[in-house]
Amino acid sequence: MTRPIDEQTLARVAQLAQLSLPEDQKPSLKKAMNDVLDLVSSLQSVVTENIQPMAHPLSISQPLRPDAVTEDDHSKSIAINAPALEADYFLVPKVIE
Amino acid sequence: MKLENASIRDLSHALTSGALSATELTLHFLSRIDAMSDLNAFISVEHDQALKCAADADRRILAGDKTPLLGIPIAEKDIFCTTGGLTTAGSKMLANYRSPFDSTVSDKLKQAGAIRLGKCNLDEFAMGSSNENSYFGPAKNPWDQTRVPGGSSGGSAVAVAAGLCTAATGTDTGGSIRQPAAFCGLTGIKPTYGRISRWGMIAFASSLDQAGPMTRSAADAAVLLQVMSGNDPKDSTSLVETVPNYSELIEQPIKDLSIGVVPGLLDGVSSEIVDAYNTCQEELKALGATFQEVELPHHTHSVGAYYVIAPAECSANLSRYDGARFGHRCDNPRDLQDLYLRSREEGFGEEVKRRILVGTFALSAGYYDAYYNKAQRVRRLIQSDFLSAFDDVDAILLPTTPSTAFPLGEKTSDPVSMYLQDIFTISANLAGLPAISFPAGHSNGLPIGLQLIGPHLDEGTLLKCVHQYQKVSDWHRRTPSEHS
Repeated sequence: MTRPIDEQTLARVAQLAQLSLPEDQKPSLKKAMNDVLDLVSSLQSVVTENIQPMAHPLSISQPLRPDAVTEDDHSKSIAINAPALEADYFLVPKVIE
Repeated sequence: MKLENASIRDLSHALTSGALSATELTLHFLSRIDAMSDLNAFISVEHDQALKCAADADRRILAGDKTPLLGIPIAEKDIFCTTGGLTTAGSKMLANYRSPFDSTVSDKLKQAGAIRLGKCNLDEFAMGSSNENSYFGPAKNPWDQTRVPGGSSGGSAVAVAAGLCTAATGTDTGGSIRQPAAFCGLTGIKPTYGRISRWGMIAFASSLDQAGPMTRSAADAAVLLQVMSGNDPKDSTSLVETVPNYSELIEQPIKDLSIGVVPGLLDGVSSEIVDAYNTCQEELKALGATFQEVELPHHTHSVGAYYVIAPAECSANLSRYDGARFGHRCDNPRDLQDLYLRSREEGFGEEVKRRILVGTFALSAGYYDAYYNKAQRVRRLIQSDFLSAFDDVDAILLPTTPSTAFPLGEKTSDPVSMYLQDIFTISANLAGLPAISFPAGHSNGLPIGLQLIGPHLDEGTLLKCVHQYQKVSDWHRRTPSEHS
């Protein structure tokens, strides 16, 4: 049986996930993904016609709250975690040429 | 009274009677943590902060405050955001992360007067069943240090089992409280989805994650669950439901409690665990419980549904780690794309990468219906089976794990064999149901855990059943030190 993850698919999925994969890890990752997909393949045998997908364990609705400010200014304690910061702006490499 | 093994109630009596101060108790545990650092139960120990909280607790006790958790030393899984120290989620990605806020669970425990001694080891982002996926190295099972403590809340389980704290918090996405509780001889409850706020709990799979206590007994679990539960406006999935008085409720008898057993589900379970399962039924019958068979026809598909849904949600949740605003950033990025790709490659461990990739694949165009949508339909069938069973019984008894704690390194090269460890625990997460693991035997000196699953919001019945069982059994009182 053809296994769903080949090298091209792995590369495409890694791109979607924004993960670079070292060459030497690709074979083991490909195998592990195919093993997991084998494990979950038994789901295909379950009859699910007319069954609604269940995205959440409880049928709850999103409660509304008054549109009021409830948080203090945490900018200083947030900024201490920034890898690079200048004048309260997060720095990233240049994105516009 | 051995302070390290004492119950919350006994410690609370000693504290309020003046026989013991919270500072003395805290120092006792801190010295044990330092002496047993080879267990690797903690990622960070908060000596100064703990002693400051203990001094505050002593002042409150002197003023007559009798809050049940006041002055009780606890540990928190390092996935709960806390201020004043690090919150790592067991990942290189967050190795230096300082949370700007406290999780609701941490805040509630602090307000109740519990003294946090430190933050416990875990599988990276709670993904694992052995604690071997931690960036900080595995915690070791105090019953046999060559074996895993279970995971992902492995450090929390080790800390309680080794007497390094009185109780600990854990989180459970597919068994991460119950499986380590079983491997380390503890009582651990995963409450109903929504019972406890997830605010400030670093997200893995948001429709499955739930916090809960890990303790030496159901009576201790009742005290912690009381404090941790309740609606929180900061988590829109937390339930607006009254929280019963668990400590009162557990004292009721279990006469006429109807418990379900599921024929055919024990294939592949070790014979010692099957024996413990059968013996426990007889002991519960002697307490007045009745047993009857129930069917869970889709239960065998739980692992399949889980390993689509959990990675899918994980891939979405972990997209926030991009090296831009917080967390690990690679050196000298060439451009923004390079910053994302390399920061994520360097910051995440192998198992996290595997799950992100599987999840991304399951959600990608062309595969969404075959995997994610299918898994969600099967999830509904699994939940419907439980709801039908609960028309006939008050709870269902299952093993927690197919085996006792396995040797370190035994399953690390085969992710699928690790995933199958969760075969009995995953269904409660998929269905959003409360489930408790409790010690019910030993095999070759290693604890055996059994599990009760109950209807939504009925944590009280599960705690009551285990508490009444613990009044007539002593498995929960055994400690690794007595064994060795």
